[in-house]
Amino acid sequence: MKGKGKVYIKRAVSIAAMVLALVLFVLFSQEFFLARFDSNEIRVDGFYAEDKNSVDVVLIGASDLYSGYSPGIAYDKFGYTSYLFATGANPISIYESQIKEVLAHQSPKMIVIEVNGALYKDSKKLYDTGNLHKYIDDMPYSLNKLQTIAQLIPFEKQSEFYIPFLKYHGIWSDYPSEKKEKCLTARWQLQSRGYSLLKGSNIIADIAKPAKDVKQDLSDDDSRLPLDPESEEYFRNLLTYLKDNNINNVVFVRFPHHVDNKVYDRYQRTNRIGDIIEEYGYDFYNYERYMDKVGIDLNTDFGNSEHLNVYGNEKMTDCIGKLLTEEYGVTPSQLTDKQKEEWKNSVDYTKRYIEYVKEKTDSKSGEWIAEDSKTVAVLDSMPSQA
Amino acid sequence: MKEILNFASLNFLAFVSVTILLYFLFPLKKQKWVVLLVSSYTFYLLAGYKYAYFIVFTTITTYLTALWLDRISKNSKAKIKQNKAQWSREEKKKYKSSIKIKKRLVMALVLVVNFGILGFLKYYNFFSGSLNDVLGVFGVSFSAPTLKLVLPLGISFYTFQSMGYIVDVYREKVAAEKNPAKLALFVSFFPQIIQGPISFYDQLAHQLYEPHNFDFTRFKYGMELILWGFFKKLVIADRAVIAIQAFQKGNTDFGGTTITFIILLYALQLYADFSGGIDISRGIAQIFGIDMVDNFKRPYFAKSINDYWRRWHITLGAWLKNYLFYPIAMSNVFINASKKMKNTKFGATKAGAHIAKVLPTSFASLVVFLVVGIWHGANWKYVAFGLWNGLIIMISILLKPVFDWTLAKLRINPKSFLYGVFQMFRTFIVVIIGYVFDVAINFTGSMRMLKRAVFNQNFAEGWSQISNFGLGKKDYLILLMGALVIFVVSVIQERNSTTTLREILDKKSILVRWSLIFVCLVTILIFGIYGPGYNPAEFVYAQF
Repeated sequence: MKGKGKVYIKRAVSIAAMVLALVLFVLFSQEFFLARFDSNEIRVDGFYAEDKNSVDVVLIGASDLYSGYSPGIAYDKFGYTSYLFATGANPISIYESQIKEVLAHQSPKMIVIEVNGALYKDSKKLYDTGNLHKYIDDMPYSLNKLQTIAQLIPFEKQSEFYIPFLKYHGIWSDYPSEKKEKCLTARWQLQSRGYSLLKGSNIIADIAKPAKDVKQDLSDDDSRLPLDPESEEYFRNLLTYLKDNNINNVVFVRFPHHVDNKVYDRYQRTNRIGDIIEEYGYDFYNYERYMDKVGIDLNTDFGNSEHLNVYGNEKMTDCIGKLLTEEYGVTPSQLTDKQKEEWKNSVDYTKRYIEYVKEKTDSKSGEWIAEDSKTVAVLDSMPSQA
Repeated sequence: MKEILNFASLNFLAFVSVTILLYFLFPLKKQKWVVLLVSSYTFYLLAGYKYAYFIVFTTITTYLTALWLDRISKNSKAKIKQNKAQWSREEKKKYKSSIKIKKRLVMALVLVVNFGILGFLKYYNFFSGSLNDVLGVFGVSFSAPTLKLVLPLGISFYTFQSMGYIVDVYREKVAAEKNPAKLALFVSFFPQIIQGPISFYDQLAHQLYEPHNFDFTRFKYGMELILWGFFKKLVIADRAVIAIQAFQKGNTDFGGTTITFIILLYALQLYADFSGGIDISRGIAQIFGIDMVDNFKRPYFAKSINDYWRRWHITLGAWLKNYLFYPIAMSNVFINASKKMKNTKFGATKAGAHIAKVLPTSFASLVVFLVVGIWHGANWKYVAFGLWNGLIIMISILLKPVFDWTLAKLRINPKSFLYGVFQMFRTFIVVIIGYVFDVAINFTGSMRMLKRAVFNQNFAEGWSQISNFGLGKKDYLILLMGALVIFVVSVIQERNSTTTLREILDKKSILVRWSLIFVCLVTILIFGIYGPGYNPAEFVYAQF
């Protein structure tokens, strides 16, 4: 019997060792080698790298948010810390999950929600797994992650969200790839540094001329169109969740866009969303309608019709900073010396980044400039702005 | 839930894991087979409940017919025993003959019904289309309608398996199963339902019904076999199929080099896909304590087409040999034809005597391969595929004395290594010519492909075409490495016919063993074509 017991233990240990080796291999490779690797990943990772309860303002939204606001500049001017917890084409279906993530990792004084994700024409984008991957892949494993996957992802696709390795295991064949490598290296840099330099900023370096039919002044246009029913349901669920959980430190905003005939219906839905927000007693600032209040110039401040460029970004950052500090009394943070040092460094790098993006914008390079290793190397080589 | 049909899906792996756990934890030892039955039906229903009634119908008709046949046999034996003293020899013979006819009619009834269903679902549109074409030539305005027919999962495999059982009961080789649930398990056992192997009742059934305790060695061997199957399926077959499908979509007007390359790739893909799937099925069964027959024995090492078909899809070959070839070859028609020929002037010559002797087997071979062709699909290209193989076998049987004479004249030792290599090469060429029919869209396309493969070779053009088939250089390198691994393993297996590779591996140190398994797992995980973003190719033989 003793001999048999020994055999059983040996087998159990062997199998356990094999399973462990395999799990470690999958986790390690999906973390550092076989992952998606794009700027969204760096931005989401950067959020989780921030010290717990050290971020005063978290901004949730899509690309119009991370191209139109700079946390480093806001800290420099207004003293509060902020982070862009945003991913490309982020749909409204995911916002509640993101709020839960924010509250699980930070105790922000304010949460700014850009409403773009609720303005899509139909519900297709709400379940677009490509866009959902941008956020869910980089969430650490938690109950919220499991619930998010269970609620939004069709059963047959859930496995690729639980174990991203299943989706990305074939990425090895993309190497050598400059795009992948600069994100992979940036991720390693972020891990070793322990915090993000640009706090999620990713600006398009271009100047877009407005189309002929762009509306020059919308301040008097309060026409409305209903939201897509499913989007409205998700949006109302979000507002109910906020209300039910007494999360009142929330402000809704709409960042500026070129509103031409093509997207005029979206503008009308934006007006409608203001009504819904009001129903629940929250504030909504529609900077698309009142661009003149921000000083946005349709001819010089856009990288393309959907995104502000670096010049528009400076104006919008200033506007949001004033809004948060003057209207909502957001005060400078109480940071540790280490955190202050890190934010000082972030400000320095953000200023270098702004200068670098301006250079690229003036030459109309059209690139999206994220915190990848190539950008960081360029910023490293620039003189300090501190 | 159709994803469960994909062996590489998490759903399937989870399903198998749960079934294994339930089977070994099931408290009623003698009823363990019920777990397999419930799992098999759950699997079938999850894969597509709409067509489950077909398998239920086959099971019921098979069950009742077998009992009927069994009862006829028993009653007749009892009657003969009872009348032993009274009946003359002649009367006994007459009675036996009437019983034989009765049994034949009963058997024919169930065979016609079940093969009829299979034939209708699989071939109706093929025959109606062909009929319309023929009538069109003669200007007849009648048009047989085309129906939207979908083949129930595994219908060919379970029909062949159940009808084999009926024939065995008819021949009194096996007794009829009294328990309908047990028979239902034999018909529906889930690891083999997708693509076989086609098992004989006396080989498989008792293993399914016997209780099996967990055995670590079996578990280990089963897992290793599954792993090997996944390597072949995911790393090789599902990668190669990308290029093959791109080729097929781009019609057959590619250059000869491209066609040759694709046919070689298809040879690799088909073997890796089919044998990989069978390895997974057998591996799962082995964990349960059930040994299913292997379906492959290094087919590309075959030295003749006959040999190839003894190594390729062995269980289909065995089924056809048992239930089709022998009945035809031993039928009175062929035996009498052979005898008649022997008694002619021609039959008195050496060549005539040989032809008379092998006539039944050569014709039976031709018929069997025609069936093999039609079994592969409802298309004239498959008929051509069957005929090609059948004719080659027929010719090789008929001309055997000529070949032997030539070898003797050329002083070639047929047992020499070099001649063996030549035979393998020659057989492989014949086999891959047959594959052209498979790869082409239709018969005309296959003829065009063959012509181009011979007369239109251009390497530069070939490479530029091949590189546009959705695979990069790295993929082709993996395919080459994968083919080399299969080749080396096959050589080892061929040299150790009595020991399996797993037994050889078992004798190595634990570090070597587990390292090798780990490398294999990681290779599959990284280089395998699976998961979202890929459209995993169905097992090629699942459609048959």
